[in-house]
Amino acid sequence: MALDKVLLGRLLQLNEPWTVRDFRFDPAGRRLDVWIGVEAPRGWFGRVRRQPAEGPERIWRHIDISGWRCHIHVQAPEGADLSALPWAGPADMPFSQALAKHVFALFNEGVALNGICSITGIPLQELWKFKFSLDQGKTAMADPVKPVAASVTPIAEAPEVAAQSPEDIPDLTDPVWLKLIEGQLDLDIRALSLKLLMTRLRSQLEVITDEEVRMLKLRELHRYFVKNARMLGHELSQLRTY
Amino acid sequence: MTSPIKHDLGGHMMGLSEATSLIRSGGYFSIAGDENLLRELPRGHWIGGTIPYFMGQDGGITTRDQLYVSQVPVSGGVPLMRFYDQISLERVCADAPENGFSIIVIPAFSAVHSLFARNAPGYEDMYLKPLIGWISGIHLDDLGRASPLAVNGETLEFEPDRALVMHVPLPADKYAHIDIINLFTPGDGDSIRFPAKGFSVGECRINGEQANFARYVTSNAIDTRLPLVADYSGAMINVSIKAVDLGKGVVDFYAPVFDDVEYRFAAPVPDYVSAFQQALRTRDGGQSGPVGFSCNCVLNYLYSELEGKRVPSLLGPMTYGEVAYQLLNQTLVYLTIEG
Repeated sequence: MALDKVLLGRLLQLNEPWTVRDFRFDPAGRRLDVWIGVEAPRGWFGRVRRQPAEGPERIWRHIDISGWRCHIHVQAPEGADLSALPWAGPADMPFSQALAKHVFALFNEGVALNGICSITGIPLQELWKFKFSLDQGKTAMADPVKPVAASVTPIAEAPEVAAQSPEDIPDLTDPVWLKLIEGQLDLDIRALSLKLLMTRLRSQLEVITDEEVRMLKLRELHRYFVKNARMLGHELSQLRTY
Repeated sequence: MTSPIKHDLGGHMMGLSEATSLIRSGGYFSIAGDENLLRELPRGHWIGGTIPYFMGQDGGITTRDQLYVSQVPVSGGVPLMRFYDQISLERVCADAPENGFSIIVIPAFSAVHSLFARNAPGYEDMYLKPLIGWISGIHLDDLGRASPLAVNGETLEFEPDRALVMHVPLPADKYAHIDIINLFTPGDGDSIRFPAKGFSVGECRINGEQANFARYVTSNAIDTRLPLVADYSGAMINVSIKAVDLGKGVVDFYAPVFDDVEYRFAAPVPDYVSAFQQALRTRDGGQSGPVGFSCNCVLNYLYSELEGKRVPSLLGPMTYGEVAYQLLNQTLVYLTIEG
């Protein structure tokens, strides 16, 4: 049993002082629950020192392990910073950071919510909560150590979206989209749906600081134009002049 | 620019026997009427909702003896009808056809009404796929005795708690276009912002200063028949006032206010009918196809005393709320088929 805990810890990429305290397999539900905490500090000669006070147990859904749904239960010392740990997540979010990045990547690939549910087995309600948090600017996806310029790169590496664009719609890499969504460029808009969408996106951009989430919003706007190009003649004629 | 609206598909008021014949002819229909009359209709391809207020071909009318029936333009495949509850409602646009439109009927005062009003702008595929519809209601004399309903004509289910949607595909050479006619524009009064979205508010900021909204409305003797108006990139979006409770310091609305837009009380509209005709003349020329659906707000009907008055071109039920993508108040919404 002790060996299993060590193995699980390695699979989850735990580093000291984190350790697997317990785990439970549910073969019927193909579910794995893992309890993680900080190893009791030991002094000289192996004597266990007093355990620091711990906060409440938090639970996050993590990336599956060989098809087993993995749920992480964490009891961390009070005030512990979990923000850099891939198997943990924000207190009010249902996913670990690693799973959130996976879901975000699927969003970026244009996979619909129900498609993501099918792929990951995540309930729609939890996925919705995550998307809502992204829209509100409460969840960041960019690697904090990654420079902004690097985080913009995926836009340029998205030929699959650009390839679907009608010829008269600027490519997703065109700076006109950023100007438009940030309000530096104003169009005379006739389409009701674009008026409503533009207002929502600009409002979201005011609170979203994370570069990758901002790029997700750019893709949303570009996708709208591609999908509704037929009724956007007036708006597209203005875009082409920039 | 003048752009006449064609009426090939636009509906009209009719009696039970005519509506029954139409349904039996096999088309797809959107039907509004009093509950008792709707219960007399045969099974068929129709989506319905309860309401006794209409703008008919002969003018504004309150009636329990007639139905408003409009034909749903179907040419690109078989429409699909399904109910949405509180859990599934957020999929309403995602489930819509890639090219087509969706008509939604939501019972007033239900949990799905509240949920849709607050959260629709964030739904997956919202604004990408055309969603139009209305909030069903009841005769004001029946408050407390009857429930607003959504009706699935294919199963004859009468539903007070779930929204009903007809998803209608269109052929590749056609597309649906939704627009609104809102006669209200922001007045020149104070700027109003709210700290959170919701159907009820206490605190707000008036020109940046903290204030209680109920006290503000009362002390300024504001005509609460005028809605709050927010400018959404050129689209004027109303929120109508339901009640002001000065004792509790709370104002209730018919649609939620949002925390990310600025509101002002609307400028008065002295003559609704003339203003409407003027709005029709100056509307955007981007839509010239046949009207597939339209409805207007019961508050416009009541406040502008439209009973017996003819408002041209766009007829339909006078509803407890209008849906043009998101929930609107005191606004006419309509859908045309273009291409």
